Amino acid sequence: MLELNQDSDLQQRLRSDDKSALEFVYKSYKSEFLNFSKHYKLRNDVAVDIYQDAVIALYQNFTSRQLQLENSTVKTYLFGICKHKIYGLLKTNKKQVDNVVDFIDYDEIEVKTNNLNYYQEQLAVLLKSLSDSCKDLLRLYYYRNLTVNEIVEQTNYKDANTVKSHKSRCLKRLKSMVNN
Amino acid sequence: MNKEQLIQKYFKGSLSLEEEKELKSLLENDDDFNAQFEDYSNMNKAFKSAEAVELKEFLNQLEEKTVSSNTLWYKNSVLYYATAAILIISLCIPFLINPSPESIYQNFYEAYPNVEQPIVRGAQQDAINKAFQDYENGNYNIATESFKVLLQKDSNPNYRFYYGMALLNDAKYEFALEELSKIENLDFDYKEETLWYQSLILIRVKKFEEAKLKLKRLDDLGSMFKSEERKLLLHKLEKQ
Repeated sequence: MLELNQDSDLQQRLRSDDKSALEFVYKSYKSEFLNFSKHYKLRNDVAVDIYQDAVIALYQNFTSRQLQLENSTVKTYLFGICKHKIYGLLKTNKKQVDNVVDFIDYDEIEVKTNNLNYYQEQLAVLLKSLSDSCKDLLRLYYYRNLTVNEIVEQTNYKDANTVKSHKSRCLKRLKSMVNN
Repeated sequence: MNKEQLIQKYFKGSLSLEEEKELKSLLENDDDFNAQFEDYSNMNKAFKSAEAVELKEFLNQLEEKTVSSNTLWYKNSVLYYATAAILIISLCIPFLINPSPESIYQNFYEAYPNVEQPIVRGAQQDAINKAFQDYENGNYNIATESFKVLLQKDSNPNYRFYYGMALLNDAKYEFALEELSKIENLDFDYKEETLWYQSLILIRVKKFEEAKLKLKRLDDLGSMFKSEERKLLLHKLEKQ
C-alpha cells in the first residue's frame, strides 16, 4: 500500500492523463485482485478482463472528471469498482454472492456504463480519421472537459480565440464526415 | 457562469446544487442550450468509447509484455544478470524510501515450493498426493481443504506447514499464522521456513516486535535460510 502522500501524487498523475501512472496502478494491484477473484471461482481470463475494465473506468474518471479521492485511496477505489463488476457478473449468471473476507473492506462503486446510440458510434469511429491536431484539441475539450483557457495554458495555442475557431472547424469537419 | 462552463461542469461532475437546478431549467426551457448540451454529450460519449478501446489495447499490450518476459527472460544471459541486478536493487529500495509493511511483505514474500511430496499420478497415497498436487498447481483454496482433510488423519507437522503455506498463498494471513504457530516449537523439516514466514506475516499485520523475535530465533538457531534477506529485514524493522 502506498503512503498517503504517494497516493496523492499518484492521483495527481492520473488526473493529468499520465499513462505511466495507469501502468503503475494496473501492475501494482493486479496480483492481489486475481487472488481475490479466486474466491468467486472466476476463470483467469474473465478476472483479467474485469480488472482491465475496472482500471479503465478508474482512469477515465480521473482524466475526464478530475476525480479527487478525499476519504479513500486509489486502490480502495479500484477494488470498489472491481467488486461491483464481479457482483454484477455473478448476478447476471444467477450465482450466489457472498461477501468474502478480503472484499468486506471495499464498498461497491458503480461506474456508469457508456451506452452509445448509432450517431455516437459513428462519431467514435470517425474520430480516428481526424488530423492529430483536431483530435487532440477536441479530446481536451470534450473528453478531458478542459475549458478553453485551460487548453491555452496547457498547449501551444496562442490565445482563446484561436482555440475556439480551431475547435469549431474540427467539429464541423467531423460532423460533415458523419453526414456523408 | 456562461452556458458552456455549465455544461463542462456537468460532465466533470462538479456542479453545485444551485448549478444543477440552473442546468435542469435551461434543458427544459432553452432549445439552443438543449442542442448545445446534446452536442457535447455526443462528443463526450464518443471520445469516452474510443478512448476505452485504446486503453484496453494498451493494457493488453502490458499483459503480452508480462507473459513474454515471464517465459523468455531466462533464455537471455544479459537479461538474466540484468534481472538479478534489478532484484537486488529492488530489495534495497524499500530501505531507502521507508515503505509500508505491506510493501515490505510483498518484496520479500515468495510462495514456498512443494519440496515434500513428488507428485505421482495414480499414486496410492491419494489424500497426500491430492493435497500436494493442488498446492503445486496453485489451487491454494482447494489445497487448504485437502490439507485440512489430510491433517485429520495424520498430524505430521510437515503437512501442517504446507497447510499454512496454502492459507498464506490464499491471502488468509491470520489463519496461516495460527497454523504456523502450532508447529513453530517442534523440531521438524520446515522449522526455519516456519519462523521466516511467521515473521513476514507479522510484518504485514504491523506486529514488528514479534516479527523481530522470530527473525532473531533464526539467528539463534544458526540458520542459513534467507540469511541475507533476514539481515535486510531486521535492519528495516529497527526503523519501524
